[in-house]
Amino acid sequence: MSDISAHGLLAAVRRAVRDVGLYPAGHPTTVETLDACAAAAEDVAVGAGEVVLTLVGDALYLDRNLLGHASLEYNGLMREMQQRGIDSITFIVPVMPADVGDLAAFIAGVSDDVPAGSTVRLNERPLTLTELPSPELAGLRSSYAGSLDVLRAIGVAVRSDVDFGMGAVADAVESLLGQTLEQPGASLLLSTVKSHDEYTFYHSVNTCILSLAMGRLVGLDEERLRVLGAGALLHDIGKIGVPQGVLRNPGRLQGHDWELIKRHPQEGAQSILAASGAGQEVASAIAFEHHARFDGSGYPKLGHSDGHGHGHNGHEHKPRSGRDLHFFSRLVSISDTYDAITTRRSYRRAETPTRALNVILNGAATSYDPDFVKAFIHLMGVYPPGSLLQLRGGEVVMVIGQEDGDPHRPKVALVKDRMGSAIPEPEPIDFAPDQVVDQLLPDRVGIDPASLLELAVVDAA
Amino acid sequence: MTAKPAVAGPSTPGGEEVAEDLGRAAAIEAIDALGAAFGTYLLYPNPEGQLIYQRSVERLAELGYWPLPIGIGAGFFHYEDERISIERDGAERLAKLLFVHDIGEIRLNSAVPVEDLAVVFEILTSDEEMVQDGGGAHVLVEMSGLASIRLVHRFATLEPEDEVEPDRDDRVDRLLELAADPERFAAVLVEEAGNDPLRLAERFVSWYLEIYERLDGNDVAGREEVVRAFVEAFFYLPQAFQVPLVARFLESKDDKPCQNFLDQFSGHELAGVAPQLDGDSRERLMSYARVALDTADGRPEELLALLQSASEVKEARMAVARRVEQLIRHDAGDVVSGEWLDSLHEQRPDAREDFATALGVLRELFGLEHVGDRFRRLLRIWAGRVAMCIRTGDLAAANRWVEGVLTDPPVGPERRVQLEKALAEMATPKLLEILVGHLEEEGGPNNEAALRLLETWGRPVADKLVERLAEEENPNRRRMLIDVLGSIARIDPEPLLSFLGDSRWYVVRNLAMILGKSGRPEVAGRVKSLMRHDDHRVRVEALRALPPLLGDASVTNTLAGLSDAHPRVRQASLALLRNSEHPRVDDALLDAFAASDDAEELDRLTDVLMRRGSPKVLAGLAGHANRRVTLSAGGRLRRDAARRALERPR
Repeated sequence: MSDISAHGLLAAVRRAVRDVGLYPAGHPTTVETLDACAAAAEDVAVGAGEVVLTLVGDALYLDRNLLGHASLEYNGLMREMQQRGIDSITFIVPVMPADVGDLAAFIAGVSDDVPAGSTVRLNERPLTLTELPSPELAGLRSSYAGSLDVLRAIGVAVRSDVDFGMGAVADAVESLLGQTLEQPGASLLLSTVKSHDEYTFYHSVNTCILSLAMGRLVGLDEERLRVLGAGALLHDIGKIGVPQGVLRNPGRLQGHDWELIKRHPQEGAQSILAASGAGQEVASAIAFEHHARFDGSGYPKLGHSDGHGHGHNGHEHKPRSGRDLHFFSRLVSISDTYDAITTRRSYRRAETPTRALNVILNGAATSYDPDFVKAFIHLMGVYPPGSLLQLRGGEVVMVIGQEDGDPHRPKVALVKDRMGSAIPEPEPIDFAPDQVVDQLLPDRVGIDPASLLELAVVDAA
Repeated sequence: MTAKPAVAGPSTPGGEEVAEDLGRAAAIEAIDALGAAFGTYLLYPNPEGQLIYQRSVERLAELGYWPLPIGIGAGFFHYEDERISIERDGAERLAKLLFVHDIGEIRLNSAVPVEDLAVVFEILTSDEEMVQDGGGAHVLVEMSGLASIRLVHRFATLEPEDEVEPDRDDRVDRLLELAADPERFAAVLVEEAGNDPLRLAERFVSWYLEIYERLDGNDVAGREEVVRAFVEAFFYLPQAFQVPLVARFLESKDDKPCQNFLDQFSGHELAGVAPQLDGDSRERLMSYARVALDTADGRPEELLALLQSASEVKEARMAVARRVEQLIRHDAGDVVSGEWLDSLHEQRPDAREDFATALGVLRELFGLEHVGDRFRRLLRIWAGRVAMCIRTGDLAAANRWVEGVLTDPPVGPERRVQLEKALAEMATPKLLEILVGHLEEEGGPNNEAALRLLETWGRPVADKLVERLAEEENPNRRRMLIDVLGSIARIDPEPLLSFLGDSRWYVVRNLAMILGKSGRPEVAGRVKSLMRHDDHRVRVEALRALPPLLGDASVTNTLAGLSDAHPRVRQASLALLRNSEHPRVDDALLDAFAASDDAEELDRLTDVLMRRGSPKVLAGLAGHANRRVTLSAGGRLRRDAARRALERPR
């Protein structure tokens, strides 16, 4: 059972939980959602009579198969289930939509009635860690999930105007750093995990991973990498206070809404400066400057003394730019841009990794520090990890790393054959870059790059 | 006590309105008092000891309008659905916190005792998970058995019809259900349009606009879903259908729904369609691209260039890969070398610069934040950083935070007053106690820093230190505090002068000592006036304070001291005159000698006179010593004293 086939079931459960919380019982939308969820459960249980979804720590299993990628993609749903004390869910064919409704209501907190004795049962078959295969990348995923938890907790604190502590941030970065140093290739591939519902948090973790990789490339020691990581993880924390209506606006922002968004670097820097514990000095600068451009454009307008375009002593304002921007801010602004462009946001479809590289390359010396642009391009290679490439013969391959660290020799796995059929268990193949005729978006191929994380590790080993 | 019915019963014409007005007034007062109390609670470790907190509790007791239900919104309070404007940060923070805890109403049932208020604040500021585990803030307050105050869960305050439900009709839901599979949706669209691209364009756009408009304006998630559904379906349409569709959307590119649709496209996707558009449509696309760039919402900068140049989108995508490859090859594919890497190596920031970085950020934020509450928030952050450094014993850092903002302040003159005010509020007794403790550790790592910090803090802490000095019994600490206050007075003695009229003699005495150390001659007049103070101890210190301020010019006052009614003052005066070279001193001392009939004082005078030993002094003393006949006892005392002095070997 692969992540790809489990994806449909988890997506259906998430939708059911949302709709049950949103609409009254019997509403046509809920009815359709529950029907779809029951059908999805039957699809994955086909031939077996039942299927068990198990939650252990930071991982989801379908029967005994680890759902590595889904564990992160559905991390929010997983946490909701854990909060309700759910260790396992057993779907027994034929799955009744009403039973799925009870499950969704229980997870959503609408009802406290634990589904029992029906076609959907809770905690009947909890498996322990010893019974489950030990996932090779459990540590990396756990670090990722832990960082998401920290950001969620900070989100709650910031929304309630309570200062947060930097200690948890430091722990999360320490964990991510350890994992990225140990498995640099896999961590880059992991940074392709996306979530539309929790875009800011996933984006922050991805930016952190990319920044740590770049920091390592430019020779930062571990102490400095920790400082960089904390700033990268918190760089968008100022968006937490921005209303959802603005963040999720399906188009470009104008007027007041755009002004609100432009305030997030200031808001973030202030939240970080107000945080307790050590380590906020550079993090505040990164949050403050990550939208400042190398040529002095961008926002906020830096170098002001009184915010009116001139110094408080009446001196003419000279915008802060170039190397006057903090080294780490210049670095993070590139990782930030790369992850943002390759992610679907409310106002823009995702771009391919190479297109994102091109945007960065075009911005060298105007938007971005040209030295860091080169560093980033060397780090990611011609086809960055997660790129989906169409070959001359019609096959689709995904980049899972670089051969011997050579940026123009990507390692790939075949994900779709010449006929366009998905490969159930993709495997690495030999590849010549001149076979590439096009680059595709994950949405069009139907494969999330991070779902093939294990391949990167197997191959590296 | 229930005042509401007594004020406005239902039978009174217009009574309900009167009651509502009174209730509203009470709510405004209660919110302000709660806000003040909450702000104090967050700021001080012992809020109950703060005057403002006590006053807030009194104000709540004086409301006289119970039960008083106050509604909670996201960061605001309301009464009877009318929003109450908030003046205080504390009130806003309280509203937000209540909202986060899903509290829909705070109900005051009677005067709220200090303890009850503390319980509520403690619950609200506890770890959110713990509160949730306990059943929520409303449950914990209920379980605490408080009668005066109650928190009501938001669900309990909602009328059935208030339940939030996006206003989506069945058509929207059916369409979204269909659009969940974009490929199928596209196929349905093509079929319904009878395979006619132009017809599809019209139907596609009209469906899109209809569904978009049907959604509740507040249903942002729904709108996002609709836009996404149609955009995704677009990409499953054959290219022949896509081109007229883009052209149709471009015709209405300035309308929000169509703009949102076009905004979803990446640059190269639009560029892919561009060559097949007719002249008008292409012109509209260029115009759209220019506007999209101007609004600077993160749109890829190369969009315009792409539209102007690219003719074959697949080719353009691949050109990017070639460009990147070239760049990497140019550096010989060697990741660990290259000028760029050397340059970045050289620029790696040193950890010792981190502090200056954060300080720079704070200064720039001060320069950017002009709105009142945002500026106040920054002040709180600044104060918080200073306080945290002091508490953790990093006084050097605390100094840098204070100096970094106060020296060449990043704000205009009108805001500087607020900086000083914030600094003054920051100086809580607890923090000052820590600093004074460090003052004692002579030679310790923080001793110098504590002294410097207090000096820098200066004016805002002066009055608090004076009070602290008044209570201090340890002589060593007293000396240190006087030194610190002296340093503060050197910069600005003004805030200390008000204490000269204090009814406590010891406070005034301390002030005289401090002003003496200020080195500011302009305060000498005020010090001189202390020579008329009722308490001799004040006069003594005033006498001692004047010479450092006035130099030789103080001698008149010192000499005047010789004739003070109290011997301690005269003694002090004498001590000061011992080494004075002023020409009037000898005469004055001899006059004092001639006026005294106190044996001990006469000995002290002769002691000083003999030290001076001028011919005039010796002649004067000799005049007393050589008197053969003296009629008074005093005269005999003076003669004997003079003789003893002159007989002593010199």
